[in-house]
Amino acid sequence: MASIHNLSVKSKFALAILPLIIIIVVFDYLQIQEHYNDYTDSQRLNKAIVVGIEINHAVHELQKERSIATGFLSQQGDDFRQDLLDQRERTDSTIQAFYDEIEREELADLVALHTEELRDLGTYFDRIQEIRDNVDSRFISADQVINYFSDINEAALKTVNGLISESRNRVAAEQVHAIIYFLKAKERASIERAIGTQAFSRGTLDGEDHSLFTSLIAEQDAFIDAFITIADQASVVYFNSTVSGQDVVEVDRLRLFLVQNQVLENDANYWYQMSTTKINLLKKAEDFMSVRIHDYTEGISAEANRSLYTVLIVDSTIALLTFVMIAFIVSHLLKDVETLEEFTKKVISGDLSQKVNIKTRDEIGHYADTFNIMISEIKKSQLALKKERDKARFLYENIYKQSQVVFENVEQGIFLLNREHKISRLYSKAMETIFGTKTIAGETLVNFMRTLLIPRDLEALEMFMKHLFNPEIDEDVVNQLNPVEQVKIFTESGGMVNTKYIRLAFTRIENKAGAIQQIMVTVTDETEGVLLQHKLEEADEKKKMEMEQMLSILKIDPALLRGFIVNSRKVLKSISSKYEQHDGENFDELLTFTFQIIHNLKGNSIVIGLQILTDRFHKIEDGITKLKDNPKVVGNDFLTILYEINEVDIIVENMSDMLRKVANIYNKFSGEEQTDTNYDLIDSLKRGLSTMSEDTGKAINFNFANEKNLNIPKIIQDPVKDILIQLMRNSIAHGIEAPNVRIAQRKLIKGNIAVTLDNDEVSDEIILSYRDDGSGLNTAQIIEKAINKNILQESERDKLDEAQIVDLLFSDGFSTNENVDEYSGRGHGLGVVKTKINELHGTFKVNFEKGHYFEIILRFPATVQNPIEE
Amino acid sequence: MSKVLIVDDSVYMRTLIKTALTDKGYEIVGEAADGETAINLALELNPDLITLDNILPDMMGLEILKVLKEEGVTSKVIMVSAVGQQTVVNKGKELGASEYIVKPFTAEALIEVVNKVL
Repeated sequence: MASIHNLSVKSKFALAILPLIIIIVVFDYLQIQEHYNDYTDSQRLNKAIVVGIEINHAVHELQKERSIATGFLSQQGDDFRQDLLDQRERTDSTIQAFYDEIEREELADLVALHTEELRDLGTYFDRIQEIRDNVDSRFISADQVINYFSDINEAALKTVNGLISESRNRVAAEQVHAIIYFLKAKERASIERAIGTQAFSRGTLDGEDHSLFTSLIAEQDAFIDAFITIADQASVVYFNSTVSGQDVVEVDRLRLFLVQNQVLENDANYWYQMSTTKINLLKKAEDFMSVRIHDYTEGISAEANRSLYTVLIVDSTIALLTFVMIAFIVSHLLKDVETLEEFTKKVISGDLSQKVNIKTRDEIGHYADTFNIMISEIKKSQLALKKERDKARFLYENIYKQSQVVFENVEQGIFLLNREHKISRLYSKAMETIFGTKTIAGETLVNFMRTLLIPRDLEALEMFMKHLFNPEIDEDVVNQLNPVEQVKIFTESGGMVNTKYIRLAFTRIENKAGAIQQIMVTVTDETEGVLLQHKLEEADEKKKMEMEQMLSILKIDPALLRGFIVNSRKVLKSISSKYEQHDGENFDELLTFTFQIIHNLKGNSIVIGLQILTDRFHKIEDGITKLKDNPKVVGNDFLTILYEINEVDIIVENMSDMLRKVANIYNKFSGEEQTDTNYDLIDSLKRGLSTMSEDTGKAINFNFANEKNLNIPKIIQDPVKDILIQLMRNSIAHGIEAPNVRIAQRKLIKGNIAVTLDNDEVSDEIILSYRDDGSGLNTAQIIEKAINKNILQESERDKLDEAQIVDLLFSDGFSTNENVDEYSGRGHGLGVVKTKINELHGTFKVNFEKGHYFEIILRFPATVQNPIEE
Repeated sequence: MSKVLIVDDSVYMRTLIKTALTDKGYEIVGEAADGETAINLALELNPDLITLDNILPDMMGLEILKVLKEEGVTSKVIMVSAVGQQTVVNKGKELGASEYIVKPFTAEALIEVVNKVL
């Protein structure tokens, strides 16, 4: 059975149809053969009847010859001689006709079939001549003749029987049998005639012949009965109407006479004539039946022929139709199955573009429909999938990428915390910038912040995280607990520690059910804002202080204030000097000294009501007190105090400026020319110095002292300014040392230039002193230079005193510096100063201490005079 | 000696049968050429054997057989029938005939059948 399962559909069909085809073929074959047999049978029967009729003709003639020969032998005379000769000719011609008949081409097949029987019959016919010879010479008795001829006829009839009794057609067979019975009856009638003829010839029917005769008649009757029973109606009717009449009744009478009487009076010829008449009637009936059976068999032969061809055509047609139908259906089925199979292969290989097209409405058609529906469903799902994929791609490209871009560029740090408090893989790029690290993802927030926060804040953050994920605490409440809402962190970048102010904000992300899934954290770097605020606060503070100073100043009597300022500057300077000169050992004395001065100043400021400075001094006092309590004081500990003292100094200086501004305003609005202020002059000098000190990298303070609040007459202000600027150039270029040199010489890093305005009321002169804290003058170097420049003769080198050496500086063409720059070395230098002083009719005097200071004191007549015209 | 009644419309057949049986020592007690005579003789003579031809002028042999059996005749019956009357033979056996013989027959054949029955 498995082998059948594995067959292809085609083979299965073939297997299933095979028995049907065999049945059809066998059935058709059998039917055709049956009809063919009928046909050949009827044909053969027809031929057999033709031959049989020929034999019957011969038998009929032999029967007659038998009777005549019997009569001839029974009588001594020649009554039958001529009849016998005539009869022999007729007998021979019918036998010849039989031979001619079986030689016919048409009957060859029949003859071939019955060769033996026909040959046997031939040998019987061959004996006839011998019998005749014996009859002519009267060597044999009448009984012997009857027996010989009867044997021949028996053989002939047997042959006929053999020829025609094989019919398969029942009706034909019956009729044939009827004829055979009839022939047998006729043969017996013929023998009866012979024996009767013999008996009449002899005049008696002796014992043996009597019973033979009786039995011949009984047999005749029996065969006729059989004939009547099975023969067809027409034959029986014909027989009854033909074999009747006077002569037949006469034969019956003669028979009875023969059987019942011992002595016979009638002559043999009469019996012969009568019985021959009857036998001829029988012969006539026989011929009728022969023709009839011949016609009938011919009819059935034609019928068989017709039905054979009909069957042949019908069966062939049916068989052909069946084959065509089966082939059509099967090929259609197979075609559909193949179409489905091919289509399935296509679908398997992924081609969904086509539909399977099967028009038949059977199961395969339905399968195809189902298939098409399935494919359209698959297509739909594929389409849906594609849409989903496109959507996903769209989301990725438009949303994910955009959010990536946002995350890359947003200035805030943004990330998510999962339930384990760990930082999400995705966070904004700003996180790395803010925290200066790239190891962010996957760390818990507390761990991440551990190095950045102070322990207290860290602890608070840990607690806060728990609250953040606790859904029972309201988000707003939790956010109020945020310990890192604004926090200062220290990050490292490129070896530098940066201080940052950051703000962390937390937002809960809940799912639909309201459970906390994640926390979104935003980190804002507020450093700039905070610093800016600090600066603003500082600026505010400064303004406020200035305003306070201003207000303080305005409230205080200008004379008292000026006195305080002058005093303050003096004593503060003395502190600086004290520190400069300190040996670095006895700090207690230094502290005491400083404390006394500060304390004294504090007292003064309280007296005049200068609250700002009072506070400052108080603060310095506190710092000094602390240092005093410290048994191990080192030099650096003073720096704070010095810094604070310096700040106070600045405040005092600012006050001095303000005071001067106020005075200036006051003077300008007073309308008095004489009391014109020096403000513009001092201001421009300060600006000039500031510019020059920045360019040379030497930081220099500028002090202008004008205790008597004097004015430089306006007419000489410009030349005075020129002189002072030239002097400042010289100080920066040659006098004030570079910062590192000053540190080595234990000087204040910042250099100092002080200009003091005074007057001599006795001589009515303005005294303007200029002093720097630079290196003073190097007299040896001046002499060398003067000799080099041919200003001084070599011979006079040792003859000059200090004043004369200084004078060399003011000679034209003297410049001590090798380099020419913006501020000195143009060969004019102090020569120009000297010229300007002379123009103003002034005098000057130089003082210096090598390594400490340079001073020049200028004196001009106070009375205004026009400068000498050049 | 067994007694035999011959029923046949043909005198030659009766003669034939009578001659054959007499030769073998059977006693022919009667002959009938028609049905009515046959029945009367059978009842009257009560023979051991009846040879009964089927085709008679007034009635069929089978009808006679039926009547005889109804009348309680105990004689053995041999049906004599012409060729081609097989149905007669079968019917006869059903109705109680002992044997049958088909015409035409030889004396030897007849004796054989008769010996079988008696």
